[in-house]
Amino acid sequence: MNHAIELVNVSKTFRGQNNREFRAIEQLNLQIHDGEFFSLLGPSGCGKTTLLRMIAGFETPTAGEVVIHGEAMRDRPAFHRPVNTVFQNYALFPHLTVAENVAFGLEMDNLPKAQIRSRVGDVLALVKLNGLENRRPRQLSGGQQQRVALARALVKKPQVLLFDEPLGALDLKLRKAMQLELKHMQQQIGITFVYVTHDQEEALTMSNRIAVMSDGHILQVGTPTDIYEEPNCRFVADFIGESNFLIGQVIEQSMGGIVALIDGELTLSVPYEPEIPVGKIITLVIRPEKVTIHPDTSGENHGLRGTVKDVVYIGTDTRFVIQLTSRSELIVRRQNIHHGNLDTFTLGEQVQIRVAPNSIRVLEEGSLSPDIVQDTINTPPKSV
Amino acid sequence: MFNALKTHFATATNRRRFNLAVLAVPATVWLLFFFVLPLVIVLLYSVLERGIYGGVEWQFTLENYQRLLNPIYWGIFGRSLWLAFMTTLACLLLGYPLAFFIASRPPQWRNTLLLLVIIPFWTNFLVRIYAWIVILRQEGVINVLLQSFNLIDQPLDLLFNSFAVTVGLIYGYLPFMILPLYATLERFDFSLLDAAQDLGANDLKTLIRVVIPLTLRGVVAGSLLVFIPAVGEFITPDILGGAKTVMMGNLVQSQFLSARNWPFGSVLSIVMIVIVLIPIVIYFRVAEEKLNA
Repeated sequence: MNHAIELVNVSKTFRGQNNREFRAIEQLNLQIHDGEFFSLLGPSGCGKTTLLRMIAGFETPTAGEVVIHGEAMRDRPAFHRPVNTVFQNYALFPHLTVAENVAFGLEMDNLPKAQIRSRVGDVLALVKLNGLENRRPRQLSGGQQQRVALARALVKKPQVLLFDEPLGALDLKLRKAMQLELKHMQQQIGITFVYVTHDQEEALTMSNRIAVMSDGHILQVGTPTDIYEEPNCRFVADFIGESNFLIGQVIEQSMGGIVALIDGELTLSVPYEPEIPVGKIITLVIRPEKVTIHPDTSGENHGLRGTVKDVVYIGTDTRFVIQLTSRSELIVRRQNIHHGNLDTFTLGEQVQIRVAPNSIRVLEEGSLSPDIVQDTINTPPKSV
Repeated sequence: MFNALKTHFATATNRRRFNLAVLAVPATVWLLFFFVLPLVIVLLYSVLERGIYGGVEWQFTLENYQRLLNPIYWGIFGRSLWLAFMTTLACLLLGYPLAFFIASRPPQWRNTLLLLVIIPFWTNFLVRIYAWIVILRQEGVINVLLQSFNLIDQPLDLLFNSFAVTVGLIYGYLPFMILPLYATLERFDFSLLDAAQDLGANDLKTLIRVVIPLTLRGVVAGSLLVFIPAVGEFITPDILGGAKTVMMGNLVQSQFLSARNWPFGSVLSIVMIVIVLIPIVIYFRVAEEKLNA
């Protein structure tokens, strides 16, 4: 597969006040395929915008190489790169009209006037801004300004379009509409989009692939499904959607599965292929919507039990907080599909909890607090 | 009922208007006495005959204006305009990069740098202009340095000519250019530089197409602040220009103080006011329209 963008061992160090060094990006490698919608996702300060600015040419990597369509960009200034950017605050030229803003990039390429006019007209039609050609940016709404910024970048027909949190300033409804519109536009014109955002839902909605970043590193790259269903670390599981984390210790491994002891009180069997030594501390990730909650039919001994600690009705779902062990709680989301099943559990009620074992994700990380380690050693586990 | 309410609100609005008008009274009185009245006196004197020992005779005449036709004065007006224009241009070329530099520093540095620009004001203007004599004269700093490096045989004539006057004017008025330029550049959105580069503009094109148009207001304001006082300057040409470089201001000064021809001095003052008004009118008519479009 062709790579639109390749980052090879890229590092970026900023020299801040008092000459203190700040490592924004460290030894980062990444390939972005041609024609895909790729998102860089992470909390603020994780280095995603710095990464984007290095691709655009506004920042120079301290080490490593940015390669765009097979060409190393080391000595290429921003104005000679085959990429264009849609900026966070749009950065529209306030002294120019909509049409002049869009034409700016083409004028820089010294294209003939007639060609500029027709291309500006085409792209304004594409972003549905016909009729506003002679307005100035400050006479436009936020959504319209956003479209001008998009048109201004698109009109140059770049091989790669870069987005720096372009929807951040829009209200929720407009943002959701623009997300779908951007996604369809990308499918229609087929160029590579690299999209920086801190909004996980936005990234999941639009992207073919996502890179989750933290502290200047990429933690995981994958499709939205990969990232959500199979997070490779606790940070990713925590940042994308909601997760329950149960810290446990492997007490048995057999036939493609492990048995984990949670808080010295509770054992769980989960499928897990890789070799893992008994005694290893692990983290189990359980998504709240993958758990179901049932009345405790007494007598049956299998399955998990817990006490209802909190019930929060939030319209589409109801969230239950279940006290699972003396130390761990489990958040459960139940979709409110039937009118009849609302509020069937009360505080303090003993309930049964079911979760498909293959919906539990095992992470080989985590640490127990010292007193739990003590407990585990002293009390032999109850068998289930 | 409705009408009563309307009257009530109308009086409330009127009262507020009155209260606001009161705020303008002190400045208005001050301007009437020290700006409008002197201007009227100058206008009046310009059409009266000169007194023998200064002052005026109360006799209407237009002779004072006829004297303006003498080419000698045109030469002096021309020189004043030319020197003021060169000063403005030089201040712009020196001040713009500096203002840009200061405005693009981190915020904690900007005030310190601005302070450095303003510091010369703490010394008396006369003293600062006299200091240039020490620098420019034949045994001055520049000539001594150039000679000690064997770059010149004879000391250069740097003092008592238009060059010295221009140097003095540039030196004196540079801060008046930098401060308004800084004020507009400080509000300049530097992310527009990224945007221009991103769209294929190199540094020069970015400057011409984005930075200058968006800071035109500061350029115009700074140019006016330099040009207007420079045209009427009389201290700098008096000290650094010697007898050869007379400017309009010197002419006015000499008419009032040496020649004791107050009416002609008034005429020259009016000419100066008109000359200075021209760029201001251009500023308000043309530039404002363009900037507000």
